[in-house]
Amino acid sequence: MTTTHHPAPPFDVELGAALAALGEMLPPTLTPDMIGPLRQGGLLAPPIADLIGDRPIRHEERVVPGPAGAPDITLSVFTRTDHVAGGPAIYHTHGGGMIIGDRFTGAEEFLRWLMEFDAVVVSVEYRLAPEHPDPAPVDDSYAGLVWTAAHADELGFDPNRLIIAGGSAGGGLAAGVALKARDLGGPALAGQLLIYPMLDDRNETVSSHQIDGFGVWDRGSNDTGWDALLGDRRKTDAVSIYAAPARATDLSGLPPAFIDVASAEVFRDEDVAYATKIWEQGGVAELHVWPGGFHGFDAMAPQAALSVQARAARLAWLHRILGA
Amino acid sequence: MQELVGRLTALDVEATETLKVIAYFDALVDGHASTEVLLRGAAVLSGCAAGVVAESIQLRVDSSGTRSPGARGEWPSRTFGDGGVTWIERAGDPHANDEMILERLAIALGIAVDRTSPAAASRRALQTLIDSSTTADARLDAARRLHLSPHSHYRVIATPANATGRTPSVVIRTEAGSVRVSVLAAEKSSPVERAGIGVGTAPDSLPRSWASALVALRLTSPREPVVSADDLGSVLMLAEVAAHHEVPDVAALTSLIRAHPGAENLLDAIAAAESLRAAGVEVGLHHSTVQARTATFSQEMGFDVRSPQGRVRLSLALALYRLATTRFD
Repeated sequence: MTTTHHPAPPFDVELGAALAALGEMLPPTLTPDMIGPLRQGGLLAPPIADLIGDRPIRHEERVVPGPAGAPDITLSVFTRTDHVAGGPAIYHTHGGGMIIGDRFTGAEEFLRWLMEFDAVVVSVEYRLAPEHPDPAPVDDSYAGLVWTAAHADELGFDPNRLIIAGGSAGGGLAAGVALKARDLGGPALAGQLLIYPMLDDRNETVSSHQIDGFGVWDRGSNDTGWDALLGDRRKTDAVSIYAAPARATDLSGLPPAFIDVASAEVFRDEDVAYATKIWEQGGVAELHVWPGGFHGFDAMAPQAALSVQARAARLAWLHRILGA
Repeated sequence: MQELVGRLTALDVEATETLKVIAYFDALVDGHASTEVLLRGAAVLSGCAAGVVAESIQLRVDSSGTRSPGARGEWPSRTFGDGGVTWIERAGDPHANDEMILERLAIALGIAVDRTSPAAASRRALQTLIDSSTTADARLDAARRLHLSPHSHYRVIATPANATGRTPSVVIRTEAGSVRVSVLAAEKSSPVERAGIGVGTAPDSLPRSWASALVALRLTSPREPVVSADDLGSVLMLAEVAAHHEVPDVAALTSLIRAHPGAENLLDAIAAAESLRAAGVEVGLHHSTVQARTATFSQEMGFDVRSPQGRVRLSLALALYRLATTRFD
C-alpha cells in the first residue's frame, strides 16, 4: 500500500539558514556504516573541561553497579563548587540515536541548568547499540538512576526534587526509565524533561515519512538507530515499552512531563501522541511544538529566535517543577 | 542526535569560510528574513556585535545576537541602498571572514529594506511611473500606489541626486549621472535650488515628462538654476537630436570656454541680456571689457555673437554645450 503525504512543513528561515551553512557536515541520512566514523569524529561537543570553562563547576566521576550481571557504569556528577546541599537534582540520559554520543553530549544545556538551580547533575554513560542492544541502554540508565536516588545525601540533593532529563534518544531513555521506575517501584521522580524524545521504533507516523532524505535525523537515520537497538525484534510485539515508550498503553501514574519537539522532524507525531496519551489518562504534560524546527535545532543554532524560546520554555518548566 | 551537526558559531579567525557565509545569507534572503535575523547572523558568524542604520531602521545586536542598544562607532562598515550603513564591531585586527560577512550582510539588508520599507515601495512605483519601457497599465498601477489621480496632470521634477526635500523620490542613473526624481501636481510650483521641471502630463505619460525634466535639468546654469521644460520650446526637440550629432558651434564653444575662464557666464549674459551694457552690469564687468571680449568670442566662434541671429545661434550652442557637459555625480 502506498500512502502519499504532504511535504514537511517548511523550516523556519533562521534555522533553515543555519542548516544550509552547516548541513554539509553531516548527511541527512545516517547509515549503519557511519556509526564507527561518527563515534570518532570531532562532530560531538567539545571536551567537557572546555564546556565548563571558567564556571565554578566541579566534575567527578563515579563508577557504580550496573544492571544485574552487567558491567559497572560510569556516572559524571556535576555540582557548583559553592553547592548548598538539599536542592534539586537532574539525572541526565544523553542523546545520539542509541548508537553514538557520551554522557557529555547535551552538557552545554544541562550545565546552564546546574548553574541556574544549583542542581546536582548526574549524567550516565550507558552502553551503546549495536554492540549492546536493548535492554542495555535503558537498563544501564535505570541502574544509574537507582544508585543516584539512593545516594541523595552523599551527593547533596533532596530526593523529592529529583527529575530525569534527556534529548533525542536520551529523551526516549528518560521516558523509558520513568516507566520502569513506576512499574518497579523505583525512585520517585519529580518530573521528566523529554526533549524531542525518540519514542517509537515503528517509524510509521506521518512525520516519520515527511522527513526523508533531508533535515536532521531523517527517516533513514531513525531506521539505523532503532535497528541497532532492537535488531530483529524491531516492529514486533517483542519490543518493550521501556525501549520504545510509544508502545506503552498505560501512561498513568507518571511524573509531570515536559515534551518539546519541532514541527519538521521525524519525532513530531510520536511526541505529540505521547503527550496526548498522558492527558487522556489524566496525567500532567506540557507540550511544545516549535514551528519550522528540525531535530536538534536549538543545539545547532542556539542564538536563533526559536531556539531561544525553546530553551526558555524548558527553563520555565524547570523553575515550576523544581520550585526554584 | 543534537550536537551532531555542529553548532553555528563564530567563524575561524584565520581560515576563510566563504561558502558557509554565502550559504547562510543566501538562505536568509531566500526566506525573506527580517533585518534583525540578518544582523544576528552576522553577529553570530563574526562573534561580535553588529548594527544597522537605514531609512526606517536603527538596530544593534550584541555578539550573541540579542538586541542591545548602543551607539554607532568607528567600525568596519558597508553602505547599502539609499543611505543605509551596516557594521560589525570588531575590535583589533580583522578576522579572515569579516569582509565576506559584511559584504553579504549589506547585500541582504539592501534587499530586505527594499522589500519591506514603504519608502522603498514608493521608490519602485516612481521608477515604474517614469519608465517608458513599462506598459501604460503598469504605470497607472504605480500611479494609484502613489495616490495620483488618473484625471490630473503631473510634472516630473528632476534635481541633482544629493538634493533633499520632497518625498517620495528616487535616484535614477542617467547618462548625465545620478538624478533625483519626484512627481508634482502640474499646477503646483516647487521651491528648489536647482531643478529641471518636466512638462505636465497625465500619470500614464510621465516618461515624457521625465525625459523633458532631465533635459531641463541639464540646461540649468548658475544664471538659471531652475529650468522649466514648458519654456524650452523647440530646444527640447533639438536636444533629442543633438545627442547623436557633432555640432561645430558646440566644439568651438567648448574650446573657447576652456581657453577663457569665466567666458560661459559672460556668454550667458550676452545671449540673454537686452544689450552688451546690460550684460556687463549683470556679470560685473566694465562695458569696454565686455566689448573687447565679445569681439574675441565672435572671432573664435566664427560669427558675430551680438547680432540677432548670432545671439540665437549662441543660445543654442550654449544649450547644447550644457546638455553635453553637465554631470550630476
